Amino acid sequence: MTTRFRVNSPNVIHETIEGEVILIDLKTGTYYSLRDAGAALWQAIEQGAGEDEIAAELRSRYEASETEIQDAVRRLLAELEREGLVRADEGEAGPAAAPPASDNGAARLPFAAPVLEKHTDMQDLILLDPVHEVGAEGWPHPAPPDEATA
Amino acid sequence: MSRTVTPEAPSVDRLQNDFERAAEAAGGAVDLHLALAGKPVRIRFAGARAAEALSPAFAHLEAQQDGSPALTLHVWDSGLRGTEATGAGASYYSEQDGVRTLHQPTSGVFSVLDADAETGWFWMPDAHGLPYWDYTAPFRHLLSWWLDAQRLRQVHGGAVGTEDGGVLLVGPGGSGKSTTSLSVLLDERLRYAGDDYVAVGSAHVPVVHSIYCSGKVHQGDLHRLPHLEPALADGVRPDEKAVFYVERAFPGRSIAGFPLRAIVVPRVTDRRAARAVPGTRAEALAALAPSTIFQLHPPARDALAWMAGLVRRVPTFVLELGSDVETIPAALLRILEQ
Repeated sequence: MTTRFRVNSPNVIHETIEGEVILIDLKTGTYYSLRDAGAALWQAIEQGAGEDEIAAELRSRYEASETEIQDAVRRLLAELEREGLVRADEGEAGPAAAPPASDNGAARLPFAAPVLEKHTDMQDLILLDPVHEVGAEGWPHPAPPDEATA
Repeated sequence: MSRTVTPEAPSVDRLQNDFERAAEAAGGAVDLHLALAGKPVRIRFAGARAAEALSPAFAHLEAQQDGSPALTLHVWDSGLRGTEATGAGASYYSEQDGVRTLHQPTSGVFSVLDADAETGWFWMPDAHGLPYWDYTAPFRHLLSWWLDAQRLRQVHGGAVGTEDGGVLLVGPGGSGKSTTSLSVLLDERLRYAGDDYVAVGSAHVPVVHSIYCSGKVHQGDLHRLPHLEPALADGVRPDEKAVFYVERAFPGRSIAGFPLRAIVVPRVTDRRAARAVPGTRAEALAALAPSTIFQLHPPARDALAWMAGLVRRVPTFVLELGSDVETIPAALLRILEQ
């Protein structure tokens, strides 16, 4: 049994461009970026990999001890979960994603612990001007005087 | 605040009746014909007072009436003088049977679009009581929905360039977009397409379409842009940004659009002269997407993927801004020459 993670859709949207992941939490207005090993970890999450497989994937790409990579993976997964970007599911891991880089003979890269860059400058916009989708409860309008003073 | 609710947004028939009655009371409808993103758009104001308040931002797009409009907007107020919005606040959005409605209680504005009928309605308490961010970019939400229907997107960014091509200036408020956009008025070779919101087409070669010729800068930054001081619009409140209508103050210096050649991320530095350096596409996406998405009502979930597609198609530059604003146009021209 391994812990598997899912992207917290639909509140979280993300795009990978030139190896960097941009993530946006539509609920909070916070956006994030992940590079290098962080982007590789995100790609593995998207492909349904569990924690152990993510660590194995990073070990195949980066030059570092097993413990160093495992600790870094655990830390970043916990942070992604804390930020509400992923949800943990207990269960079988999905199929292994891409074949490990070491399998096709590519040289491994120096490892740096992945960092989740967090940007909160859009939060003010959400707090100042939130958008409420109107459902069956209807539209708000000022209460008549008798209710307003109730 | 205590609130009660009504079951539905105003009906389209009621809005049209209200507009017609308001137009009659105001001495008749005043029509403004535009070519927006190359399409004929008619804005019908109920009376000259409403037209006077909200037309200047579109002065560069005015056109002769050309066939049946691709969009007709009906715009009126209730003459509730002294009704001034005090700030931003929550918005309420609904979409039913293809009719999109937004109510912004702090300014009292209702925006309604029936895209299939190519018709919209915009009601405000007082045409001269809107906050500066609304009267410099009128009908922004209505137009963003209509642009969606035209397979165009409204993005948060400035745009400047020439007939042959231009750049999209992206970044959050305070990053230097407006200063950079308005600096082009120092150089006859460059044209102005906007400092805050423009439309972008998703064709193989992306095209920028100007929406507004207005510009805004913090009053405290005006000393860096002395060429704009004679162009200040009248009636701006001292606690608001300084407002300019480029077509009015600098006739012929605004432009309806151009092919997009690059995305530029301005960055304030302690340099003297501005300098453009290559940037990454991820930088462009991070500067463009969050502020665009959170200013659309409702936030568009598919907009991030669309904008990622856009930044993949053109190069990105970081424009390091210096203390000397006069050096910005040359740095922009060097980007366009590449």
